[in-house]
Amino acid sequence: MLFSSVDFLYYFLPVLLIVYFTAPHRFKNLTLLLFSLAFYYYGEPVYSVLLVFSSVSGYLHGRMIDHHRGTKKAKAALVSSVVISVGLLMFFKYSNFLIGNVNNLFGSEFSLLPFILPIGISFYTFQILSYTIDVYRGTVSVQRKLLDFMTYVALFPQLIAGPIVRYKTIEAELKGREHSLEDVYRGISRFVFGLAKKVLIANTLAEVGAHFAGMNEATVLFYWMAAIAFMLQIYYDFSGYSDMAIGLGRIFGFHFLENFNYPYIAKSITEFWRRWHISLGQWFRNYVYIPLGGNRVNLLLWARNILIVWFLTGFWHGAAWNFIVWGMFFAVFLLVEKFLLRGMMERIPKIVRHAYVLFVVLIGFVVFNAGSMTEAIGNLQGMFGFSNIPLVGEESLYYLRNYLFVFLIACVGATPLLKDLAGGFRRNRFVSVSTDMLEPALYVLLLLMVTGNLIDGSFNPFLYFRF
Amino acid sequence: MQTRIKHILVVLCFTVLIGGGLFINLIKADNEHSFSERRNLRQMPVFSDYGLMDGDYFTDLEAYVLDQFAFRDAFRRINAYTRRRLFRQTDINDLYLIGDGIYKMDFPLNERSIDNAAWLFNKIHADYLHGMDVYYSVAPDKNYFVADDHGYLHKDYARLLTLLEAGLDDFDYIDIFDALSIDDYYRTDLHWAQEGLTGVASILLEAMHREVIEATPYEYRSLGDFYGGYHGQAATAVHPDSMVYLTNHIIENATVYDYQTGEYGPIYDYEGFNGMDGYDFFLSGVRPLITIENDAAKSDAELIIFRDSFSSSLAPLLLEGYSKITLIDLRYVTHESLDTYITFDDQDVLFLYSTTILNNSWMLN
Repeated sequence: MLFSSVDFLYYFLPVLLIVYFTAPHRFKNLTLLLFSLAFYYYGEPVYSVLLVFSSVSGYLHGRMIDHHRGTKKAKAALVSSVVISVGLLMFFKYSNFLIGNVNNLFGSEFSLLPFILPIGISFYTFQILSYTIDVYRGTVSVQRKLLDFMTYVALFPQLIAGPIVRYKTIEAELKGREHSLEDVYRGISRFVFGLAKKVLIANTLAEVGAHFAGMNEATVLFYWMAAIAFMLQIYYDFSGYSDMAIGLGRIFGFHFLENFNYPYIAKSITEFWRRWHISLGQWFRNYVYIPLGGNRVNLLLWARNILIVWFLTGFWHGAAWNFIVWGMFFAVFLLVEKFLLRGMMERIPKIVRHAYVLFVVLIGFVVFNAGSMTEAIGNLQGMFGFSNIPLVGEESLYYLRNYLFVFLIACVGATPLLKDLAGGFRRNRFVSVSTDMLEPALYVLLLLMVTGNLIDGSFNPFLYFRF
Repeated sequence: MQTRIKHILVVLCFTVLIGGGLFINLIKADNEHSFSERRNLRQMPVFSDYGLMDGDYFTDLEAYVLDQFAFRDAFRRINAYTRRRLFRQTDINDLYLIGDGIYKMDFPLNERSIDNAAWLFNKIHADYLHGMDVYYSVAPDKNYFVADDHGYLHKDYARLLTLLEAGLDDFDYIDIFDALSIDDYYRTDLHWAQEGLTGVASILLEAMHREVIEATPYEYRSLGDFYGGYHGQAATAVHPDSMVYLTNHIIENATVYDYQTGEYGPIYDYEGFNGMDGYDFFLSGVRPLITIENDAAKSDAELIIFRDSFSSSLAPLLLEGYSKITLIDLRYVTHESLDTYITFDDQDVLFLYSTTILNNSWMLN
């Protein structure tokens, strides 16, 4: 089930809200768990078993690590937890990639496994790993209640598209949490804005990609439009999902950490990755980069650590070479920024740094979005005029006109401009009172627009099926 | 205090909206059809263990929920309004508005489809029509008249006609493009309007050497408001068309034989007008194979039209020149079985297709 669906908005969510807020305190986690499992079962009936198995496995390993703390058995339990979690992820996500490459390399004809990728496996696997590693490190207490642990793993707001919530972020709230009117209000407003970002902006931008895929005239302009549309789409889609997850969590009393912070205003690739998919970056930092030595090693090892982390970051996003290339592409720019441009970046005019980041990220997403490296190279050739195609054509100009306003809205919305303006206006008491009164109407309006879009059967892609 | 009121209002609005949505949808009776969208709506899927395990049940349930959602048409209008007004989109799902008229982009020209149509027509000619007078004509879609001037994407109509001409052997072309203007089409539908077709009918009859010396005058009658197919698809508030039909004693006395049902009926179907598609008023809509019999004809000449829905409103206006007009819709009957029903003799034969069908000719059998 998707948050951006009528089933979720008008059936699942209201029923859950009624049951959750009328349930006695001691049944609230159970309510969330049962609804979360139903939420997952709705989209992935068969793989629900895998989710339950992974959760139970994580729970038991946590208990074992805690029980044998300070002994070799604790380490063995940790290794076992990592092997099982990563093993399941490897098996379901990467085995066909491996088989395909072996076949290509050696001319063998091993059959591909008849599995589709279980939705959300990359997210919940990383959550379970963060828990068992943190229990081993002693930075979080072991969870003795299976129900509470399963609630953490299966919690529907972040189950299928993140953010990757570390156990310690909601450890206390799993045990007992306050529910306040303000939290529910903030949760609702965050959820509705996220929903609008996903449905109204991201889905509309996705149509440009669909037109591009079915284009009748290849032009340089069309290649650029598709690239920019995807760059904006993935931001609005992913950050919209994160907003919805954070908002839903807040309604139920959980305070998840931020996952996006206006990444397209970054002035370096290093800064971009501090603002984009923050929970994933922090996960790799805490569980891969720092254990490898981070930057407290010699330059060569530091470079190695960066390359490993970005190889894994790319590979995490999908089992295909273009994702690996995408990760390594960013690793190269991060290395250049850290080793060659150190101290020099600040002296470059801001606008140039912004342009540099946007250009690098744009090229990166062309590679990311391609079905294969061949397609990625073809798209890049098209963008830079190496395909012997005209600059513009009737069709590409038409679609530019058709989606121009959406592009403009999306560009402005990807910056904190509106937020800053609103903050400025709110300092005026009259405007503040007026906006407070208009705010409920704004949410109703957004919900009606979103519902209209969903009911009309408009394009509603799910980008995370490869994650 | 002001902040608390805002919090309460937001929470209240949200819960009322989604809770109200749940409540209304639970108590609302399911609809079988959507008249605005001209289609049957999905019904509650049948529960099965297998469907529950492989997820098909939930996929069907999702489609059902979308189709049966309360105030579906109103929500579709909100979406159309958002896209047109807020996002300033020039088309929505290829549908665009010019004034009060609704149009659907149909592009680019599919040259393989035109070649396929020519191949099929030639085959029919070779199989059945040897030695007969065979004509073809093309009805332009509405985009022909407006798309270029307003910057919308459209087919290359000249190329379409060139390809067809080059591909067809032993067919005589009858040009009706110049006899039509955008005013001869419904604003809310893809079809031409019958009251604008007298000129087209005259050109066709004249070209097929069936000149009408003393044409029986038509009486123009109105059926009232007509919301065409594009109206529902566009989900936009535009004024309805008025459906006007032409009649005289020839049309009123003619009968229509339906080979599928073996029954006779009238040319104009008043029930059809009030059905899912008001255009079904003409010859009762989709009929694979029918013959209009005109006992009041002044000659024994007969006509066979290979046609799409555009001919439904045109064929009655050709009755003046023929005692029988047989209409064959190759979308619903295969050309290989035609001699089971029809004796091809010395009839005039007209292939009359709209540019839209020619550009999607794979649907012709």
